[in-house]
Amino acid sequence: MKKTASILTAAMLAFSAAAADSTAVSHRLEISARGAYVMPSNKIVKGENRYGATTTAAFGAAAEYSFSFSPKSRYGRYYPYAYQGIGVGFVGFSSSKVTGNPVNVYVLQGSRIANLSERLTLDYEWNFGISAGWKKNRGAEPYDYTEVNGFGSHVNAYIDLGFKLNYALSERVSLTAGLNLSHFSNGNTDYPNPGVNVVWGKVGVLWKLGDIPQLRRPDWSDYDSHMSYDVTVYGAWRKNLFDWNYGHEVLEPDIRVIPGHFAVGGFNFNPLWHFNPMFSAGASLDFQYDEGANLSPYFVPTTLPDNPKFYRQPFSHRVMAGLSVRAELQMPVFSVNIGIGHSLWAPGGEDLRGWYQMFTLKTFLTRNLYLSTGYRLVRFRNPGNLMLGLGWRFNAR
Amino acid sequence: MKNRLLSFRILVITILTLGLASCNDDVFIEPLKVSAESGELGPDQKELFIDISGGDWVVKNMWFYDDEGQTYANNNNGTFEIHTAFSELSALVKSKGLEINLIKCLNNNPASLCFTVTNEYDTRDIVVTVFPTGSYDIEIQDVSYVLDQWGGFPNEDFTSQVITYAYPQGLAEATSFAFPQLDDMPVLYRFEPWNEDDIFARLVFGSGVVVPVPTYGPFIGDKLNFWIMADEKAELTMSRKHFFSPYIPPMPAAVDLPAGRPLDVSLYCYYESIGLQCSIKAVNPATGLSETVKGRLRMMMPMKFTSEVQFR
Repeated sequence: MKKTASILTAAMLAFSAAAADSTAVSHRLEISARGAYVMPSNKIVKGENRYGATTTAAFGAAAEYSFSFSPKSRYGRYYPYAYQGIGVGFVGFSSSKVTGNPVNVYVLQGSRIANLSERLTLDYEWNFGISAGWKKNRGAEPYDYTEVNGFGSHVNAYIDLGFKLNYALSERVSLTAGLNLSHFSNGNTDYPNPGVNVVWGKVGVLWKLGDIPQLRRPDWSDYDSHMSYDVTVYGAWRKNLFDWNYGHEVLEPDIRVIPGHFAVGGFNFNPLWHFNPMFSAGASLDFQYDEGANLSPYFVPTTLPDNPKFYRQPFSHRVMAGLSVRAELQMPVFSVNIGIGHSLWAPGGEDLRGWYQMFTLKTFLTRNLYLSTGYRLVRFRNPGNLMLGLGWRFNAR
Repeated sequence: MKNRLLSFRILVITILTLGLASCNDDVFIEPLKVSAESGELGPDQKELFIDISGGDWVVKNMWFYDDEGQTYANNNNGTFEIHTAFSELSALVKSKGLEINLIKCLNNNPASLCFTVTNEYDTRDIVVTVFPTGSYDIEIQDVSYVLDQWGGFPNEDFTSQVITYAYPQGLAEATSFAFPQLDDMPVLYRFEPWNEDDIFARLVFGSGVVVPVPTYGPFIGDKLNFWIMADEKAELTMSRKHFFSPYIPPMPAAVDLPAGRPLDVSLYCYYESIGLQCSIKAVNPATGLSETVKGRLRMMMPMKFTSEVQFR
C-alpha cells in the first residue's frame, strides 16, 4: 500500500494543479465526528482471531478542506455544486486488538443531489485514500483465522461513500449529518485481506470561506454529446492462492497462500458515449495478465506447501481477454468508472474465467491524460487486484 | 507543458518499476528436462548427447551394468569414467547436457549405462543401452570335480510326477502293469563361484562354454564309485538350467491292477539336491593369463522312481 500512497500524492498534486488553473471562489472547511457500526462481514471482526476479540463499533473524527470552481470556468458552469478536496481522519475501533486505530488521508469529492428547502440540501460525497496504522498479522498463517493477530497490511485503501443533509445556519456556516459506508482493503496485495466494512453516522460543521457563489443551475448549453475512447494501461502486485490438493479428486481443496507477490497488468480500450457532462456509458475490451494465475496444476510436488515452488505456467494461462459494460460519473478532475464484464478468452483455467467487476477512479492530469486507480473483483465476491495506471482519453472535449 | 511531460515520464517509469518489482520469480523454478530418458550406444554410434536443462542440474549415481556385474563411475571433475576389464566409457558434463562416449564394450550381451539427473526439486532416470563393440572368449583349459565327496541339501529335495495312466472305466481284466523304460530324465543344475565378487569367476561360471559334468555312478553300473566322469556335458551357467541324462534310476517294479475299478496309476521321480566342488582353469581375457577359479556344481538329480495306484 506504500505505492498507493504515492498514487494518492500524485492525485493530490494533479488536483492542486487543476485548482490553480482555475479561479477557486469558494473554500470549505468541515469537521465531523462519527460513530459506526462495523458490519460482521468477515470472520476476523466477528472474533475469529488469536484474541477472540470482536470488533463491532468504531468512532472517528475528520477534518476536510475542499473548494469549488469559479462559475466562470467550464467546470464551474457544468458542475456548479461540485466540491473537491482533501481530508484527514482518525478511526478508533472497538475492539482494536486486531484492527489497530488507523488514520485516513484521502481525496474527496461531493455535490448536491437535491434542494429539500431553502436551507436544507441533500448532498453526496465520496472519499478515496489510504488508511494507515492497521495492525499487521505477524507470525501466523494468514489463512488460519484462528491464529491471525492483525491484517495483511499496515496501510489499506480507504473507500467511502456518504449521503448527508446540509442545513445552512447562516450564509457561511452549516450543520451536516449523514450516513456513510466505508470499505477498508489492501486490494489483495497481502493476506489476510477479508475487507472491513463500516456504516457510519456522522455529524459535522461546515464553514464556507472566501467568495460565496450564488445558487445556480448547471449550464450545459455548449456541451455536445459525443464519443470518447479511453485507453488505460495499468499494473499492480497481488497475492495468489493455490490448491495443494489439486488433481486429487477424492480430497477436499486445501487452499494455501503462495509466498511473495505476483505482477498483474493489463489494458482497457473503453469507448464511452458522453450523454452529458456528468454521465457516460459504453463497453470496454479488457485484457489482463496475471503472473500468478492458474498455478495449482504447476505445483512442484517435491516442495512443501509452506514454501511451494511452481513451474512457470504457459503464457496463455496467465492472460485473459474480456468484455465489460461501463458507466462513468464524471465530475471536475475525477471520474468514477464502474464496470461489469465477462471473460471471452481465458484458456488457462478458472482463475481468469467468468464474471469480473471493476471500480476505477480516474484523476485527470490534463484533459486527455489521467491517472487510473482501480480495483477488480472476481465473480462478485472474490478479491481480485489493484489496477494502478495511466490512461489517455481520445476525443476528449 | 514541459512540467507535465516530465511528470508523465516519471509516472510511467514509476509504474513500470513497480510492475517489474512485483514479479514473483522466487516461487518459480525451471522444470528439469532431458531430451531422452533412454538411448543407445554401440559399434555404429559411439557418441550420444543428452540435452539437459532446468535449474542447477547435476548428474548423480552413474553406474554400468554388464556381464561383469555393476560398476560405479568415477567422477573426475565433471567427467564420469567407467573403466572395467572389458568396457570403457566416459560421460562429460557440459552446460547444455551430457556427452557420453563409448570407447569399448567387450561383452557377450548388451550392457546398460544408468544415471540420474537431478536438480533441487526433480529427478530423471536415464538408461542407455550399450551394445557390444566386440566380444570376449573365455578359453576353458581344464575342469575338475572332487568326486569322492559331495554335499546334500535335503530341504531342496522334491518329488515330481512323471506320467499318469488313467483308467476311468476300469480294466477289463486284472493285469500286472509295468511302466515302460524311459530314455532320459532332466537334471537341473547351476554353477556357483565360491567368491561371487570375483568378476573373472563370474565370467567363467557364466560363460556358456560347454564342459563335462559328473554322472552318478550306480546308474551306469559302477557300484564302487558314486560319481564318475562319463560322457555328459552341460554349459557353464549361473542360472538354473537343465540337461537330459540317459543315466537314470531303474524303473519301479510292476504293480497288480484289479479289473473293473476306475483307477489311475502314476510314476513319480524323487529328486535329490546335491553339490560337488569344482575347479575350472581358464584364460583371463583381461590379462591373457591362466587362472583357476573354484566353485560348486549344484544339481537336482533324479534318484528314484516310484509308482502309485489311486482308485477313484
